[in-house]
Amino acid sequence: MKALIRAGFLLFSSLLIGSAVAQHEGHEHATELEIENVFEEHSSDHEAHGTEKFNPGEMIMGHVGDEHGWHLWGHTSIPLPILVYNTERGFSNFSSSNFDHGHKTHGGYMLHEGKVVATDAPDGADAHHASVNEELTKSTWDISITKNVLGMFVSMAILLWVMLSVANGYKKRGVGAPKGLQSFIEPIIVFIRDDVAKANIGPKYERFMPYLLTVFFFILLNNLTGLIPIFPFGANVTGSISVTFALAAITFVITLIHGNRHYWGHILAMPGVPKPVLLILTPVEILGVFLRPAILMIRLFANITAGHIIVLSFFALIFIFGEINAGLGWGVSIFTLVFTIFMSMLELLVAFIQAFVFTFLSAMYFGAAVEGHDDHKESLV
Amino acid sequence: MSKKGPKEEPPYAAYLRLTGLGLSMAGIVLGFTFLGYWLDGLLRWRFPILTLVLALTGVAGAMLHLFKETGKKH
Repeated sequence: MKALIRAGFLLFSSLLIGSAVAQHEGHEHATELEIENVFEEHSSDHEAHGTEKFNPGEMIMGHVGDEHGWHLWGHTSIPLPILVYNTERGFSNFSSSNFDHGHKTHGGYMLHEGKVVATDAPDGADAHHASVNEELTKSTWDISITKNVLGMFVSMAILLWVMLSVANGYKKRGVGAPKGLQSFIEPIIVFIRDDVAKANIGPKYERFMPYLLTVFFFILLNNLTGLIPIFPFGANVTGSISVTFALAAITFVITLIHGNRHYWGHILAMPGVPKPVLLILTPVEILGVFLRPAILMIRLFANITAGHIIVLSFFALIFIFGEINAGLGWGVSIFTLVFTIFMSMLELLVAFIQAFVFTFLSAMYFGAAVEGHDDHKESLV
Repeated sequence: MSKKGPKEEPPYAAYLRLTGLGLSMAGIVLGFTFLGYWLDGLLRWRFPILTLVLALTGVAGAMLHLFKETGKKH
């Protein structure tokens, strides 16, 4: 059974890698187009938007959410590749600048409420008046390189550079005194090993270390880059429920794969519990198996998103008051600045805490999964 | 850091374990209620008795979960 689950997991991950490679190949064609379109300024017909009333909800959600293209300032944004697979139309890839910020259709697709949908309108038609082809949209898979995906690539590149240079340090100097980046990373790795992995998993901690360290540094770096509002940082990666879902799903799968007889025994029939109580407790425990990663997913997503929304709300206050009176707007901006600095400090703390909490709870679930009968006896003493 | 045994939880471990308690209790009640709702829809009974019964069972389950998590262990 275990071998079957393991084989299934391997198949699933190889499919994922396969699709990533396919995405990459498609992306190469798109790159040439993008370079020409980078920093593209938008035509005057959108200038009218400047006179529109300020909408705080739209501004906040626009910054917190994902988007096709990376908005820099005003009407300037960096176009990103749109990669769509439709079971009938096949694979298509083009630059997001063709959508003209959601105002135009291209290649039989258009943006509708920020999502790529299928349409029958010809290329370059006004997207606001084109109708959505519901039938084709259902069979459309959007695997575009969005702002969050690019943000994730950037943090992965940083993570690789940091970790490889640290690893090289050990290669050169051995396990002697650490130097440079090494002296910053080493205490964190030792902390995760001793206070997270060893404390929760026990003697079998070593096989989980690669995942725990990866997930800790990945979440930490994405939390931190999410606080920097300048390109190429500022994508709200860990505040995207899809990202936290994927992370929690990996923790869930690892827990299931490593779950031993003792673990399943406690879930399906808790020892020492009367039979009538088991009728309720067993479904509760089975539900708990799914609930734990779900809570892990919600916790990280909610904490990061909430912090971003608070800071953006402070900024929105400037414009709300500024619309009433310009002087009032300037006055409020002083308070906004002070509160934003305070919130950013708090978010800096939250960035570390949430990365730690995710890693710690993952280790706790792994610990419960691999805990043997003997470990349990030992800990009772 | 561990001197007594191979597994020694730091003092904040219990706190961290309990941070998700509220959400998991809510999840248990919701999970049971949705199961009842789904079954009622499947059986097309005139009175949604299963939704009611399973929602209450969910509350009992959430309480059991609360006692199990806070009353433990090791």
